[in-house]
Amino acid sequence: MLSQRILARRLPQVAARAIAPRASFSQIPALRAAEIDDPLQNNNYPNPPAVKRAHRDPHGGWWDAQEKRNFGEPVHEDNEILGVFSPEQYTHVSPGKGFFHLGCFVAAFLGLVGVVSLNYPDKPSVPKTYPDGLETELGGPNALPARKSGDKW
Amino acid sequence: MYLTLIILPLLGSIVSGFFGRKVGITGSHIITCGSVITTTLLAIIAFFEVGFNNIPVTINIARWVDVESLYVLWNFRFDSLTVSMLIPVLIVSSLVHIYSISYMSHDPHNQRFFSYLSLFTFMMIILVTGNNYLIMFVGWEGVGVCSYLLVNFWFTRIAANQSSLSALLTNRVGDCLLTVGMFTIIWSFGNLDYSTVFALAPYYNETIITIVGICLLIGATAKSSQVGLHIWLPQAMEGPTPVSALIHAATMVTAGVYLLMRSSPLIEYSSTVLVLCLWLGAITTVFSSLIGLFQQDIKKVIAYSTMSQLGMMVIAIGLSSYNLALFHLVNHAFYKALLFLGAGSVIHAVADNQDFRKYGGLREFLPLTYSVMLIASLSLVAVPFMTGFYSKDFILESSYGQFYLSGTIVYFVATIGAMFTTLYSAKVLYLTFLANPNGPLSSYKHAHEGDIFLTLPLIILSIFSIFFGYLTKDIFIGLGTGFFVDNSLFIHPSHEIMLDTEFAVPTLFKLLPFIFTVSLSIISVLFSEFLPKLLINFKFSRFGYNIFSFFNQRFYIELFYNKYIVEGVLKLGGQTTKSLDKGSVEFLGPYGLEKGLLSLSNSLGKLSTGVITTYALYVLIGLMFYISLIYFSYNDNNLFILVVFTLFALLNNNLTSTK
Repeated sequence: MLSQRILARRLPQVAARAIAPRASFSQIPALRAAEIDDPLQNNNYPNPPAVKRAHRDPHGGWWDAQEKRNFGEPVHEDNEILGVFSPEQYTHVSPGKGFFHLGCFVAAFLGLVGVVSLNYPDKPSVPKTYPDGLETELGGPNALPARKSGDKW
Repeated sequence: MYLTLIILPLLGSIVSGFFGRKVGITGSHIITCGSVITTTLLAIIAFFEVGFNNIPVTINIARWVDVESLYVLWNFRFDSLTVSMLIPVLIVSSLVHIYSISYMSHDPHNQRFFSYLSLFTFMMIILVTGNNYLIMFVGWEGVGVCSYLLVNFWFTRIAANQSSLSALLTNRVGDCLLTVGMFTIIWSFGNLDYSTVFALAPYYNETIITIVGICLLIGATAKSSQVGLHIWLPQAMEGPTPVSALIHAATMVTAGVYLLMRSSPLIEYSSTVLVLCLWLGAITTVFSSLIGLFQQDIKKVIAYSTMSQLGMMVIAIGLSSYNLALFHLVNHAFYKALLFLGAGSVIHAVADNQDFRKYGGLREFLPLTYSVMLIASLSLVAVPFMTGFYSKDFILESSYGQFYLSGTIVYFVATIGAMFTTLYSAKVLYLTFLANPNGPLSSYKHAHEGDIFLTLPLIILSIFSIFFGYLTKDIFIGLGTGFFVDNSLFIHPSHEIMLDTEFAVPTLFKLLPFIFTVSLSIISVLFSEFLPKLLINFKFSRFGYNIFSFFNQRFYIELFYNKYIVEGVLKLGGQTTKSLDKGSVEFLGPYGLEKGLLSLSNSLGKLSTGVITTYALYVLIGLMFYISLIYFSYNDNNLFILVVFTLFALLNNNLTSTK
């Protein structure tokens, strides 16, 4: 039987260790304890909940009314994102509703575009074409001069 | 004269900024105002000399970049486009300097303010006079920095901090693409000089021109606050009102339009860029005028109005009518500066309150301000024979006169934009001056007109807002005008639509904007006076509330930007700091090394079990590894065959034993 064989093999070892334990020291338990004590390695900084200060009551009687913060109050480690300097979070509507409204506007705009495209007028004049480029128009050798070469004015 | 014109505002700024304590407040006023007014007079002389006499001036000062084939000079050019730009920039700047003497009289930092104002004027002159894209870019960034400094002038206010940061960062997006466009120009044309680039443009592949044009257009979109990169302009209203009048109405925001006008010989060869301009301008004009109608802050309404008019200018560029865009730019500078300064006068009179729901009945207290704001509004809504009429109406007609699908659609879209422009102008005038007084009594007790420094600029600008368009129409957009023969603006002959606009557009479509303007003005006042309940009931209905919220909250664009872009980028930045910057250094450094080595030694320690057979197994593994090294080093297939055969033999053996 396998279990018997393993037991037979392990028993003498256990007995030997119990009689004469080997001198050993491991840092693992100490390290593990340190991790439990200070999991984020930040000296157990009390990270407050991630709530934007913009959502705090502006009339809450804060020590610093502009920052909406009390004296000595610990700040979140993402204070740049959560502080009053961060971009405003718009809560007037949910993004889904916002997209719906924007979609309605775009649809109305495209509707106007569609209506106009069904009825737009044709050009009454025939545009002039320049198959040989703009050399003459831009004052090239064959251009019509504004004044003759002998004119003084 | 031309160098003096460029350098004087800088000297004024240096004296006021660095020697403010020496010269004192009054000294600072005299020096900065004196230098800017002198510059303005010189610019008017330059306008006559360069513009009317067609004598462009180029000044080469020094070499800047001389690397292999890239050769960039510090050089300046005064042609008809430049001097036309200098006129509104410097006249408005002078008047804003004068206005600020009174408006900022109670501020303890006058010298700093005037130093910034003059520095801004200098940078704007650099922008419009530079003779290559790099010099232009120096001015472009310079005005951006001055805008930041001036919006954030009252730097203890968080809203001012946020707005100035928003302005600077939004403009960085455009600047990034503008820089890419400049690199593309260097890569494809080998130079940044205007004349070289424009001379080569007709011979280049259209795709390259399109890439460059789109980059320039995005740069202009940020600077001129077109849809997509527009959010900074209304926020920038946190700055002092003279700053809004100078920077965010008349000058800096027109820099993007100037860039496109200056690049006309380039973008004329890319129809894609022109069509993009046309649509971008049209969407901007209707978008911003709709938002403007639903705002409650007087300065924000005017800011959206500015955006709407900038959209009109971009439409004109899309129609290849650069002279028309320039004409509208100049006209708009005058009446919009007047509108802002008038609004500043109101704000000054009612103890810095900007919410016009708390105004009303101010006509009796501020008759001059009412008059000038009425003039500016009439000009803005293009009432015939006012300044704005000659350019704005012509842009609308031109879009129809192009007789293409895009042009016709843009005509209707822009006309709708113009309708809303009329409505919000009537709203501002009505709620501020004509409605029943709605503010606290204390506001009215101290309401008064300003002193001469505050009122003189208003009077001068109102004269410009009435007569400038009538007087200069034929110079800028007259048929056969010789003003632009120095080729500062280039319109491809195939894109010329002036004749079609003048003679082919049906009279109904020429009059339609005017009909809407008049009828909507009357209807809006009648509704507010006689049927206010109807409007209020509609606003309180569910449908009305949703419509109001949608436009009042600016199409929720800021919501989407902040939620999906800005927040995401910020969180990514935070995670990068935590996980990569701090985390990777820690894990690869002291913490990771210590933990890794301990874990390794612990694992090795566990190998020591005290069982002979286990040790024998280690020895066997070691031996096998040692023997197999030879095979690994030769990369021999025999090893593979050997392993396969061994496995096969073992499996076969097992199978036979089970049987």
